[in-house]
Amino acid sequence: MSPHLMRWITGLVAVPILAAVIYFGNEAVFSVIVIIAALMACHEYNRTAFSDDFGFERAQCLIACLLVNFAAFYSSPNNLSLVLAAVTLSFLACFFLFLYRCRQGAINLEPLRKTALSVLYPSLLIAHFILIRKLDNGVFLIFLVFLIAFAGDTAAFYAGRNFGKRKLMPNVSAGKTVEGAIGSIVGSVAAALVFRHFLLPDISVLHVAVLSLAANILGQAGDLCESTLKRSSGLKDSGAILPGHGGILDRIDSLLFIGPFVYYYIYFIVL
Amino acid sequence: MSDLDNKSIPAHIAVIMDGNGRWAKQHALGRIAGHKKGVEAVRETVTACRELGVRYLTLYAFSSENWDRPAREVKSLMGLLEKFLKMELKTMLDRDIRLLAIGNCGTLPENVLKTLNEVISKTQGNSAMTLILALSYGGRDEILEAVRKIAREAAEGKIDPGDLNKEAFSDYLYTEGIPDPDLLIRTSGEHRISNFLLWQTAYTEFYFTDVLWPDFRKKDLIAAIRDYQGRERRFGKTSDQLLGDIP
Repeated sequence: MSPHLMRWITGLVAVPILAAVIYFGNEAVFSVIVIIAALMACHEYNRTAFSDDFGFERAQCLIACLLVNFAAFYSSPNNLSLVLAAVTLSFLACFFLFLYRCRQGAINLEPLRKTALSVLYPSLLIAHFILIRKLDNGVFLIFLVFLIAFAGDTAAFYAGRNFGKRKLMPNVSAGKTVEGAIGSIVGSVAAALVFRHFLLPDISVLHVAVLSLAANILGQAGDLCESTLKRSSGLKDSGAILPGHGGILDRIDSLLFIGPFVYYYIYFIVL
Repeated sequence: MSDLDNKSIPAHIAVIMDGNGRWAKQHALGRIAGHKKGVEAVRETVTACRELGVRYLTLYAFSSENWDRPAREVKSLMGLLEKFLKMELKTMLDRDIRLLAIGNCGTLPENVLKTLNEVISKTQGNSAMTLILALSYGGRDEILEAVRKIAREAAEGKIDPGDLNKEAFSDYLYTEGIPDPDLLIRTSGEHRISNFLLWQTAYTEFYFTDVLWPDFRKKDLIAAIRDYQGRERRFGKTSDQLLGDIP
């Protein structure tokens, strides 16, 4: 079985199950899924960011991830003080560990940069999924976010395969083309408009079009940023394209950027 | 992009690629991540040398002493080497680059050796540049090996020790047929030869830079070549002799 076919089959099995759990499960069930995904993503971030000698830093990133996501769970969209507090305290905690490390020996900013980044990426970004679920029509908004990412990826793949000529960013991601990127935008906007027509008719067509267009571009940026992050620590090799492979960050890289954007767009502009 | 004198580009550049481990440590990463990052610098250096018209590039990829490193690191270095060879074959064919290896290559793992030999034979007709990987290489070993061969041939009466000269001796080395390096670059601020090309570097110009190998880019290569071009290579003679004023 080709990896491509296998991806379709896993998709066709996994997507309905996940969709059913999100649809029928309550907010707590959904939040548990998000928190598990957040911890997995954070663990993967740790592996790409730190050698085995940085056990404290790794643990700190995971604890901050839990803290920020729990804060999101116990917050409401109208009062995010708890999330802000969790982020701020986690950020401050990074400096304490930094001081401890500096006391031990050479002063190196790199671990501080990396722990501090992890509070935001992936932890705070993922926590927005918990927040989206809390908005009116939250379940459908979650579906919309997934759809924008999924339709964009799929359209990019086929547009790239059939029309791909100009390389988008060969030094970051060897396979991506400008044609694929344009196809991705078209795919996301089209899928979002169809979705709106049936499931979110209260939001105007214009809003959904603007939102899905911007979200798609952000999603593609998220994908490229994740590749760059991995590449910067020597973990990806240009030319090594293994379809169906890669960790959780590879799967959710675009969602990490799309989710927060959709959340704020809906909260501040639509609602 | 460079203000280099195209007429005096060194024909043969040799590089001691030092600093992967230090780079990794500075970035809170493991040594293996440093080596992976080092592969990027290799790729960029090969491309840049080809563009600049360097005819021979020798990279000290793995010394005979490197076998003593932790088993996990050795294993991943071998894996990286194999992956590099497989991935770069197309580039080497496209850009007319020939691959050679020097060193005690017989000690490499079987699969790596097989890939290496494949790439060497597939690129043997290329001529624009020769990329030479020093693998399981040691300069003293190389000289010893040559001496052993010569002694054996002398004992068998094939050669007369009296006839042996520098040129003839060179033919017994791994680098047979390859001109001596004009420029040797060592990264990462170390100032040692580390058992690299001991015989061949007799009149090589040395260039040291504090840049760690994974950070080494085309601009650093150009800086090294520019520095080299500013030097006067006398090969033991006086400046005036080189100018031809004094016979």
